[in-house]
Amino acid sequence: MAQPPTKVILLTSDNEEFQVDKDIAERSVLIKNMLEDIGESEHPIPLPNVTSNVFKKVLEYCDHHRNDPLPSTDDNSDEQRKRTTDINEWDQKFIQVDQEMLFEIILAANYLDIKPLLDVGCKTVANMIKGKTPEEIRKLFNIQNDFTPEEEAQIRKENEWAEDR
Amino acid sequence: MLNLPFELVDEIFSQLSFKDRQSLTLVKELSSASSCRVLQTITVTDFDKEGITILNSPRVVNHIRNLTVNCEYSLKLPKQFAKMKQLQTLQLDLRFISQQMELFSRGGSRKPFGDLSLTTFLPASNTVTELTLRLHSTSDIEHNRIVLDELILRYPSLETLAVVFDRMSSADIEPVVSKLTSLPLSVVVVKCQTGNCFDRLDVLCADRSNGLKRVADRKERVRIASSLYHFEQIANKFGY
Repeated sequence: MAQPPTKVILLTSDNEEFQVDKDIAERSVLIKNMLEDIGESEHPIPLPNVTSNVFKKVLEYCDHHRNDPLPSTDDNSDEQRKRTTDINEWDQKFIQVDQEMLFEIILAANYLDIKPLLDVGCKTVANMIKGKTPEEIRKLFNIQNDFTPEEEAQIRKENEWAEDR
Repeated sequence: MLNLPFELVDEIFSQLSFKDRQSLTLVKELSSASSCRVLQTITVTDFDKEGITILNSPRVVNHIRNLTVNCEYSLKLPKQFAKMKQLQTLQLDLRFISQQMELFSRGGSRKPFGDLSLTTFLPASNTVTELTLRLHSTSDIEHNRIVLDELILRYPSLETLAVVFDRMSSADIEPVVSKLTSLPLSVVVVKCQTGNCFDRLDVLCADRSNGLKRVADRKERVRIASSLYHFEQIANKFGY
């Protein structure tokens, strides 16, 4: 008979406890390293930089991808992974959240060291910006204050000297 | 977006096209982060007022990594170079000045440079690791118009030097290569553009104990020279 999966307890910044299958939790390199350091323990592992509502989303992602091969630490494959801004269908639906949650997920993925989730978040923001004018970008991120026309003209002039290399 | 740390914003911008990054430079709160990527590489060839303004621009000074400058005789390179903390590769085209100096030494130049050496026109930088000099002829090194000891003092982080000569002043390049061999660098590449002799590429590479040694194998020379940032200027239509 198969053994039930080992559970770990994780404690978010708003003091909510999560009992999570170890293999799901270990999609986070941070948690994996912590578990290796402290060994088996009944004490919850604190995650002071993640709130419960964001962590629920992170766990949803980790659960769906629990059987994926772990990302390589090889720099070349890292570059290759980043080069495309394509996002698979499930991830696209998963990341359809409001802007505030999207940036919270990115921050959490960065803190927890979950590279594939960080990629999905960054690619999503990049896709939101693609092809937009400065005015459209300001509108997208609700940015009010901006350059004076003179400052803008100077930046445009300087940009003309720059090369795409 | 504005609350993300710089490395994450940079990660997002790394996935955008150059045009998208240029658009982001016009959004004040995102301008600095996007300028890091947009202003990495600049070529200043026209020395009108605008060209000088570009080299003095705080945005350029803060972000430039790879710079190509075509120095005309009237140009005084701004002291801002010392403030370009990201600058890694620099190419200076000194051919006009060196040609004028050569003409003057023969009594044929109307606008002499007096006792100035070409080294005077090299702006000092603590960060440049790769320098490419385009010179009129090998006599610039032979006759010490470029003072090599001074050059080394001006670029304390320099690892690689490439010198591209338009022409050889004598039939033999050995005296020039011999002088360059004394430099405390990892790689020195010497290219003469004259004629269609595309094998005229000398590469000196440092070994662990004995300083710079000439690389004999042509493929290896080309491989090393190809790794230089400004290689396309070093290579010409005849090969490599």
